[in-house]
Amino acid sequence: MMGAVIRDTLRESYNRRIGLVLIAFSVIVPVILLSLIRIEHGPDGKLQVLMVGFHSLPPETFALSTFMGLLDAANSYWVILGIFAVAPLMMSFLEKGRADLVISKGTPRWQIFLGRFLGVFALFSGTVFLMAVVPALYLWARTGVSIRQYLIAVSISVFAFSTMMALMSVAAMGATHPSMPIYLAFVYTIFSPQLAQRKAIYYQDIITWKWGQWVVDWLYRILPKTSELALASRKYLIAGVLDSWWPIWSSALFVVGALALACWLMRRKSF
Amino acid sequence: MSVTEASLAVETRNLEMTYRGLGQKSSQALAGVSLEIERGVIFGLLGQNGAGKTTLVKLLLSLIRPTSGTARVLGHNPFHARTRRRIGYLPEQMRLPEYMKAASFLRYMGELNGVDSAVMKKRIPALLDLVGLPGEKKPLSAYSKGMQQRLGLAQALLNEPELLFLDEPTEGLDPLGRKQVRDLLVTLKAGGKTIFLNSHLLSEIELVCDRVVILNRGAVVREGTPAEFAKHTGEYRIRLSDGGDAARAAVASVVPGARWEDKTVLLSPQNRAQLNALIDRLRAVPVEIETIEPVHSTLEEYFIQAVTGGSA
Repeated sequence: MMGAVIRDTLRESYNRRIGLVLIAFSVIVPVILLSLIRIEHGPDGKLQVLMVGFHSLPPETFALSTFMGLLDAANSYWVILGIFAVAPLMMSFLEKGRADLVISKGTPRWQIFLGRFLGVFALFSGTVFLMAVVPALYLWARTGVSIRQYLIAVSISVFAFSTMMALMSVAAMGATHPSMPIYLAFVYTIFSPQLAQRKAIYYQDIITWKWGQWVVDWLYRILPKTSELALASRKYLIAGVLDSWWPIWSSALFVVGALALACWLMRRKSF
Repeated sequence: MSVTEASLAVETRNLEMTYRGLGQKSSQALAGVSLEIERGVIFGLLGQNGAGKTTLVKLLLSLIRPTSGTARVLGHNPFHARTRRRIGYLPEQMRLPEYMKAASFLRYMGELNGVDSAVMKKRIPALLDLVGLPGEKKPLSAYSKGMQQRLGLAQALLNEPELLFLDEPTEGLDPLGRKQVRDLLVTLKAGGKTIFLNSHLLSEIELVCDRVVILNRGAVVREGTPAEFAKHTGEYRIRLSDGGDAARAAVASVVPGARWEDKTVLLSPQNRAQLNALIDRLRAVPVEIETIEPVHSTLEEYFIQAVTGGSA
């Protein structure tokens, strides 16, 4: 029954303008990118990638710069588009008249909520796959360049967005309009790097009292580390190592906790 | 005779619901509603706007939680998904997913109720046919109110429910559509289904319901069968061939306080003997009696009396 909700979420996303924009861009970006490059053997017999208007480059150099660009796009523009696409989809099934139809059926409420969450996650990760992974697979197939580090970096980036989605889903349970989870997501996008750098930014002059620092420290521990995850994905692409697992496992705990809270709120919600 | 739980489709005990909003005055929607609805009947719920009808239906479907009291549907807590799979519901305000077509919408609703896909393959075309939308291929965004209502009815029937909640089922339908729905309700009842009908159309309730409850300000104020509600008022309407002075004087001499409308008189004799005496007196005038009929109260009159506090 959860599968039916996931399918419905995807079907709805194709029919919403913002979802369509996300899907359209995820197709256009790789099509443009791949149409601008030519892979051929150079005078020395080695493979080279030639981008229209640029010098030809060794595949490894071209791949790294392209992957860096795609990863940055996934961590920035894609997140912004994703927030706008995700929020209405996370709330549309709660609209008056539609909730009555869906919630009165014989599917437990938590399954309806999780089905929506997974459907939205499938939409986001699917479009990231089309936008960022398909060109990488093409380069790998044509040049043999390694994409392992890049795929892990993209996975960290998608995970970072899922932590944001978990935060938005809790807000959606109490909101009456998708604008609230959208605001919250944007506020948190700004707030997250500040929390990560709280000691340097706030503790010297602004939050000098001990209990205030204690509260902010706990906020940092509990809330997802989206900015650190974005940085970690970039670092992993370049170096192939993670400085620390802390942002990953603490954010994963947040996702589990936030989803459990959202399920509980959904169970208690009146329609 | 006491009704056993197994034979009850719906049972509520002192069901109360108070809406409380942040910074808003609390408002009581239901004030201790206790109901017992037997299986296999068509039950009608009447009430003015804001009487608590939709709140009661939503509580029985676990869309909202009561402030206090208990509700059992088909002998179980309606909050259990397994109980709701045995229920069909047509909401008053429906928002159909505009991106779907009739068949895909019904398939989705069926999946949410755990209906087997092979069963749905057969049942969906049959249901669309039944509600008057055969082979409908238009997107739901192009549906008229009447078409939406028909589709809403089809989704409520898809899981072959034992209990059907219908909130204003004939809203937006033309007279023929209304008749089709009424006939369908009778057919469903004959098949052993219990139907909980919430409608403001009194004539509809009168025509199909076995039992009627009138809600006013969140409380049950009257309960009975349409036949009980439509009882004789004690008045008679007599149509005469002549409504002249002689006839009026004859009536006044036997039954004082009669009301005249041209050649028709409305009166309340104390007993049958007084009525017969009046007939004899009128014949003696002589005035020809064209018709005599006892006056029955309509459900509408009964309803108005119930909600305005008059005696029935």
